[in-house]
Order: sequence, then structure tokens, then C-alpha cells
Amino acid sequence: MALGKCAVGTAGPLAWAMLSHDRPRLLGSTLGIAFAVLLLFTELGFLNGVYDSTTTPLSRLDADLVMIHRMKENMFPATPFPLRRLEQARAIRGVESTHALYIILAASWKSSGQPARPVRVFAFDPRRPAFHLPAAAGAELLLVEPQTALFDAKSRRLYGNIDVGATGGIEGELEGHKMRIVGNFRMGSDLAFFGNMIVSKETYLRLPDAQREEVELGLIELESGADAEGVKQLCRTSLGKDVLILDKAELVARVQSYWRTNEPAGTVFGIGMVVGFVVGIMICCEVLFSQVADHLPQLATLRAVGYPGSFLVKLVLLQGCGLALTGFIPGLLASITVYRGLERLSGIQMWLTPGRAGLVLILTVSMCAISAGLAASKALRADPAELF
Amino acid sequence: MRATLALSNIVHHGARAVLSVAGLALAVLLVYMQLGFYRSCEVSATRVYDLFAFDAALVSSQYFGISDSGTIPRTRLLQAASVQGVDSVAPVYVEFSRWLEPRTRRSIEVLIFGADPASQHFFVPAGLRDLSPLRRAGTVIADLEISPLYSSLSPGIVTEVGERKLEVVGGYRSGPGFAAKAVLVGSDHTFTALTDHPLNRVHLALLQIDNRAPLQEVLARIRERLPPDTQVHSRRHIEARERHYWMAVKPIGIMFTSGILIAGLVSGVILYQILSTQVRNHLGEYATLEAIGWTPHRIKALVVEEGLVYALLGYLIASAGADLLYRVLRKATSLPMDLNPARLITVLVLTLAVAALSSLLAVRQLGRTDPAELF
Repeated sequence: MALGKCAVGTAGPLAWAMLSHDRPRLLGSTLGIAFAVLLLFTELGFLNGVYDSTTTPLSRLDADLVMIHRMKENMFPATPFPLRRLEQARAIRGVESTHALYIILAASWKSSGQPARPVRVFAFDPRRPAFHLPAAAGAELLLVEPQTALFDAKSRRLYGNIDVGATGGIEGELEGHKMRIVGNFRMGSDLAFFGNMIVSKETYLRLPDAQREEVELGLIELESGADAEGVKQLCRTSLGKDVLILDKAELVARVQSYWRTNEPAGTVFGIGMVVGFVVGIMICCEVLFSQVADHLPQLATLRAVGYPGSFLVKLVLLQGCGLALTGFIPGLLASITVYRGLERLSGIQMWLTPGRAGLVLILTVSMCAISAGLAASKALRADPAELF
Repeated sequence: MRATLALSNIVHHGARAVLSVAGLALAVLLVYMQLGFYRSCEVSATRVYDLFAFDAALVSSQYFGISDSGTIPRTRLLQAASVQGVDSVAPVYVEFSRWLEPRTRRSIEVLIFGADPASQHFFVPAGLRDLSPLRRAGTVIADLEISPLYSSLSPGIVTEVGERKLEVVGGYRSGPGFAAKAVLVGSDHTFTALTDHPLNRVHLALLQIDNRAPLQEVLARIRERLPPDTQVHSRRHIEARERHYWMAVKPIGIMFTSGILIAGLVSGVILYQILSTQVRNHLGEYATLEAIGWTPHRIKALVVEEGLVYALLGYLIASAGADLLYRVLRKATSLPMDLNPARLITVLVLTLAVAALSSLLAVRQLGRTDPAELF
């Protein structure tokens, strides 16, 4: 009875004492879990990085609804739809305005002394920016002047100097046409695109391959208070079957699901994550199991002197959680560094969001707790006398 | 006798040993997986050149990789052809287009090559068997080794690229890798009709060099003749550039490279973790052996041997698992994932080396323990 009561108070310190009395051992176990955590984060980061990078331009769109060609499922290949569909949409009740977003997937950008490199070009009316780009707020208006462009400062380092900074502008050629970079924005590269530029619609229409009557994305702004679902319905019935109207979240989900099922990179990193998770979880089990197994004699002693089984279980679970946490923290720190390095090296955006960190934490702790529990059940079944 | 001791030690520990071996197997499987990704990317990077029989190629000074190639004026081909030692020259055109997949009617990107059927000897007997059916406009030869996820192609199928209908009149098996979902080869005239690309701008010019002439000297002569907008490279060099483009410039290669490094690191740690636990669990037995007169050296050898037996068991299971994993990936993506002997041996050597090292590191704790203390 007395022992049962004191259990609540003493299990924590005792669990910690059992873990920390053998310092090198604790260090080894912590390292093992930290590496498992790093593996979980890396594989998760690769997969999410592919999705996040690809859909960044879409999630940055400044629009209530987006019009795309019915067959557009990905950022490439170019799948434009007729501009007049967007004009027709303007007549639909609830629609405030529509705006065209032209995209050249692989234009050639050449600045002095650098080889020409492929760049993705977005073109829209600078008075009504197509993207939410906090870092470039207002810079779009500079594009009113013809033959000017903004360059994505998060592009891969392949283009020479593209940082306008205090300079008056950087001269170069886009598709063989003189162009001056007058500002920067921040968007980021992905698996397919090394860098991005923004030009005005007028500048775009002067480029050799410009499509005047076709557009890649249509941005639809609704009247305040208009019902997005209702407008979508109206568009579906009154516009041609060649276009789709989606909200931003649906568009992002559509492209992500395309990558999941159709892009080898999506499949490869998906399987990578599954295997990485299995291995990571297995390391946690391995570490915990051997950690607890080592303390079987102590556990048996506790039991022999009358501590209840529930106390032993609690003790072992606490050990599991403690080890999970001590391993998680260095693992998380290492992952932050690895994410930064990978982002700089590959141009893939590696976001360590609280949600993802939480997922890995929950996985680590629960795996450690489960394997500790398994080890503990072994301790409970064991005959104390046999353990010595 | 030692080997049987090592084995019986493993057998004796039943469930615990199974868990350890499973752990080792998973660690090795992780390495197999990342190696497979890395090599599939590297191998498929240059696969597209297997379509052609050539010794050297002219490319634009902007050339980055075959899918970001830039173009050169067609006259450069004539300039190169006039150089002594050059047997013949053939233009190749290449662009991405939108392919309407025939079965699901989905829009997918396709890499289209335009080749001159008159330059047959540049393609046959390389990847393609016969270019003559391409003389008919609107016909293509397709890479049939594409993922069943996107499509199944076979000769006779009519497909659409851009707005035009194309008939598949032949096929070869290569696999498009990460570059595109599908690869089609048409005549130069079919190509220009599809893409509106002017035939006087060539993406890649293939050269066949007289095999009696020293390649580097011929290349030097061509280099002298050409203006700076065009570069000439040997086949080996151009393939190396393509590999570099895919593995060091394209994000996917960089991700696979770092994936291998992290997998190697993590697997090394797991191996050490598991094997050192094994040693710790057997400290009592080792101390007994020491007490009955075994030399430390002999015990060390036993420990390493046990480590190697464990690692070997893990390796065998992992190799079977990798075979299965590669099959699944090959089926899903049509990527070249081959469990070839070179890879089997590489992984075996790595596994055993890390296992031996881990066991040696782990056995150091034996030296520190007093036999009397263990009981």
C-alpha cells in the first residue's frame, strides 16, 4: 500500500537514475535515437520538399478561384486554355474580376558573361499582382516600364548575379530580347525549374513565343460575400468543358496527387519515406529494448521487494519516453542543419513545420514507449530468481 | 569450433537474436534502397544517348543537358563534316511536348526526338532497330519501357502530341528515367510539324569519326573550325556532362546523393548499436572464456566472428528484401533498378567492414571489465 503510493513520486527520478548511471551507454542510446530521428526527418523532408516546392507558386496565388485547362494536372507540360473562357467567367454572377497569368516554362535568360539558362517566366498585369509575395510588395509596379523583370532571389545559383540590391538594375536577355531586372522576389526552385522571373503582360506579349489568345492560369476574384461553391457551379454549367474552376487548396491538392501517382520522383520519395520510417522506428525499438533488457535484474529486485507490476511498467515507460526525448532534441537540431544544407544545395524547399516536427516526435515517443512496454512485459513475466 | 560457438550463441538467444538480425537487415536494406535510387538516376541520365551510335557530338555553348540543350545553326554540321577524319554527321532535334496519353486521355510531358531517317547508321544498331517506317509523316517509334502508371504503348497505337495524331510504328525498350514520362522518336519532318521547330536550328549533332584517326586530334581540328557558339565533345565527355547535370545540378541527384550519405551514416550507427548490444549481452560468457584461459586476442576474434555472422544473416535477408523492393519500384516507375552483382558485392563488403569495425569497437569494453565483477 505504502509502496503503491510512493510509486507516483519516485518512478520519475528512479527511471532517470537507471538511464543515467551508465553515461556512455546513455550517450550511445541517445545517439541511436537521434540518428533515427534524423532519418525520419530526412525522408519526410524529401517527400514534402518535392510537393511543397512544386506547388509553391500555386499556393502563393492571389485569387479566390483559379481557372485551368481541364487536362492540367501539373506545372508542366504547358497546358493553356483559351483566354476567352476567362472573359466569359467575368460575366458570371458573383465574379468581381478575372486576371490572366501567363507562364513560359523554359525561357532562356542570359546575363553578360554567363551562359544562357532556362528560367520559368510568370507574366501578369503589374497593377494587379498574381501572387502574394510579401518580400516584393510593390515591386511589381516597377514592371509598368516595358522590358523590365523581377528575378526570384531564391533561384538556384546558376544565373550569375540576379540580386538587384542597391544597383539600378541588371541587364540581360530574355529569349533574345533586352531585359532589365529591376527588383527581386522570393519564391524558390523545384525539381523541374531552376529559377523564376516575373514580367508584365505587355513585356510578355512582345516575346517571340508569347501566346496572345491562350493563358496557363486564370485568377478569379469574387465579389465580397459571394459563395465560392455557387460560382464554381455556375462556371461549370455556363463555361466550356475544356476548363476547370478550382479553389487554391483544390489546385494544390490536384498537383500533389498527380505527383504522388504519376511522377517517378513522387513514387521514389514516397517509398523512401516508408522504408525510412520502418528503419527509424526499428532503431527506436532496438535501442529501448536493449536498454530495458539491461536493467532486468534491477526491475526484478524491485518486484521481489514488493513493488507492484504497475510501478515497473510505469518505470519502464518513463525510461522509454525519457530516452525518446533526449534523442529527439539532438535529432531535431541535426535535422534543422541538414534541412538548411539540403535547401541551399538542391534548391528544394525543406520546411520543418511544427506539424511535421510534432509527427516525428509522436512517432519517436510512441515507438519508444511501445518497445519499452514490450521489454517491461518480459521483465514482469520473468522469475526474479532466474535473473541473477 | 569457434564458428559453431558463434552460431550457437545466436541460436541460444532466440527472439532477441531474431530482432537483432531483423534490425541489421533493415539497416542494410536502407542502403540498398538509397543506392538503387542514386544509380537509377545516374544510369537513366545517359540512357538516352544509347539510342545513337556516335563518337562525338556538336552542341550549343549553352548546352546544359539534353533537355536544356539550346541549338546550333545547321551550317555547323557542314563545317564539321568538312574536317578531315570526320566520317559523317547527323542532326538530332529534341523538345518536350504535351502528349495525350491514349488510354486515360491524360496530358503528360513527352520528350520527342527528331531524326533524319537517311542517317540510319547513327541509330542502328544502337537503340533503334529500323528508322525506315518513320519516312511516312506522322509516325513515331516509342520507348515501350514506360511506367504502366501512365500508359501502355505498343506499335499500332495512335496517340496525340500537341494537337496532332501520331501513329506508333515501332518500339524499343530503354526507360525514360526522370527526364520525361515517355520518349518518342520521329523523322525530322514529323518533328518540325509537331513542334514548329525550324530544322535549321539543331539541338545535337552526332559525329562519326574515322576509327583510324585519333579522336582527340580530330576533335581539336573541329574545334578550330567552329565559332564559339558551338562546342564539340567526345561521347564519353558528353555523357559525363549529362551525368553531372543530373547528379550535381538537378535537385533530384543532389537529394539522392545526400540520401545515400544519411542512409550510410544511420545504417552504420544501427549496426554498431546492435552489435555492441550483442557484445554487452555476452560479456559474462566472454569473461568466463577469459577466466578459463582464452587470450584476449582469441576472444576478440570470436566477437568479430559473431558480428560477421550476424551481419551476414542481415545482409542475406536485406538482399532478398532489396530484390523485392527493386521489383516493386521498377514496376511502378520503370526506373532501372537492378540488383546486379557489383551492387551485391559493394553492399556485402560495406556491411562486413562496418560490422567488423563495430564489433572491434564494442569488444573494447571487455578489456575494461573485471571477470569477477560480472557475476
